[in-house]
Amino acid sequence: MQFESNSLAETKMNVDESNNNLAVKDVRIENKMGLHARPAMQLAELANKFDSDITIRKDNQSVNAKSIMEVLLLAATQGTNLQIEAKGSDAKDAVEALSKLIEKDKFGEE
Amino acid sequence: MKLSDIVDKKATIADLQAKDRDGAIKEIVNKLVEAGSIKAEDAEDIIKAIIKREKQGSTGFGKGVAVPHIKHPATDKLVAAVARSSAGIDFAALDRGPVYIIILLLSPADNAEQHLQAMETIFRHLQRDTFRKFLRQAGTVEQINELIDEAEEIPD
Repeated sequence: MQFESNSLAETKMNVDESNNNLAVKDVRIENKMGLHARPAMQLAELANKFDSDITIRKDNQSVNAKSIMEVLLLAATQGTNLQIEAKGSDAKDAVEALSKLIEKDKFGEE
Repeated sequence: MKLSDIVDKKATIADLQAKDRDGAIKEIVNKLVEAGSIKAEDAEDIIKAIIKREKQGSTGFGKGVAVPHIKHPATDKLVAAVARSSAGIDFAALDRGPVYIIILLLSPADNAEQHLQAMETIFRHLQRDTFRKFLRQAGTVEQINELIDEAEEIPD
């Protein structure tokens, strides 16, 4: 069995009594155009593939990652710091997948 | 940013004649030409660009609203237009439902932050049930424009 030390170190995990996993990760918007409609759509589509409840936070604002309209309300420009929080059986996978889309893949943009 | 700051109220359409997506986009852009917000010679290119953008992914985000938008070099000032359809238009919306309210947004090519702020303003209002309901019920240009002016004061 391979031990995934890398991703374990990056994502904070807690297991509460109800056996609902919680995963949290800070990310930064890297693409030049920011979180406009197309990236917001990609993000919500990906979030909907997971069972966990997923919240995205910017300062004091928090939105449901599965709603495109709510994600657009973040108006997150390049360089904006966001926090992704997932709660549920696939919380860790959800947070990893979303942070990869935002930071590594940059939504397939510049 | 307020909704009334970005909407050209001279371009408001209370009841779209168009029955399909491309026709609706054309009608709204032509109205923006009539209102003086864009030049007649740029209309065709803008229409083509918006339709192309819709084909890449519908801006019919559900709940009966669509927000077609592009950044276009012919736009020197950000401008939006509000249109209503009483019959409903197939916009290939994400929830597959017909679209009754269209807010079309044109942004200059070089200002990503202003564009995001405008989208935030539009969606802050459109995601409110009361605002959508009032817009759908507004039968005249005057009623729609009044809603745009008072958008900030309408309760949830």
